Amino acid sequence: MHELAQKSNPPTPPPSPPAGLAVSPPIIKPERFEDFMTFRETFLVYFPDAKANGRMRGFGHLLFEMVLETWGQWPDHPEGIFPNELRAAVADMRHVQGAMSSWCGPAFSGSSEYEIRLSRVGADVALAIGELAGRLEVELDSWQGRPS
Amino acid sequence: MSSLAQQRISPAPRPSPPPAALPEWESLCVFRETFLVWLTPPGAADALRYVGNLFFDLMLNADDWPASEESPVRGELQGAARDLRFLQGYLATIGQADASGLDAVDARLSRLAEPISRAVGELAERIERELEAWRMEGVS
Repeated sequence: MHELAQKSNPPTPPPSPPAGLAVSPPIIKPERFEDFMTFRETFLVYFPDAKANGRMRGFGHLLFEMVLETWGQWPDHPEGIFPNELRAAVADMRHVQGAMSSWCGPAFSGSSEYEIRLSRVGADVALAIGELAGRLEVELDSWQGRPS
Repeated sequence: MSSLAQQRISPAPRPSPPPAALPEWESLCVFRETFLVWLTPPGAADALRYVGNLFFDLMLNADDWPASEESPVRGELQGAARDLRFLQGYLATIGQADASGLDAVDARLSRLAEPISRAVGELAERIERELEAWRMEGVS
């Protein structure tokens, strides 16, 4: 279980910035990943308006807080939360792989030298993240046969 | 969960998280699976996936919204790099789990998560370097 779920006291979302300003995805320090639990950044990037983006993030915080308040009353995963957390991480890694493969694959239509270079990096990273996800899947699949 | 809400959520048609098959990525674009894994009532995670897809469709059809100033591939890869940083932190936390509270198999999974966390961080850094090069060089 991650720390935020344990203390069940998530941070207050930042106030919404004024409308009309364009925003880029925030810097995510890995140790502060718990502040970004709900929505994918590859989804929020489609909300460039600062106010809309801030509201979506606020909604995400609220939703996660509600889940934290309630999840203790919900049924446990049959195989325990630990392997399911890893399976969820694998699913999210596969999502990044799929998204980048699509954006940077054969259908990529950028024309500038920089974008072409960037798309090559994206395609390489997609392959690499797929290999890492595969390593976790092998371990998780071997786990399935263990005695309960 | 209230009985009324439970009645409105259909039984889970598949395990959660779903199989990590590549063609599925487009139907999992909104909520992190690392968030949905907490929603264990049957059908609850799928209900949010459904709502997420509805959000996504609405967003894609919002033609009058302000457009990003970024080029599409640059904006999307920025988002992907941030998601990789998220995963780096998430996997690191799993890798740092107290081994004394884990059985042998979970402890092995935990040990594997840590080096993969580092590798994910290196991939995020690779994208970030390219994005930073754009800013520094002012390339178009």
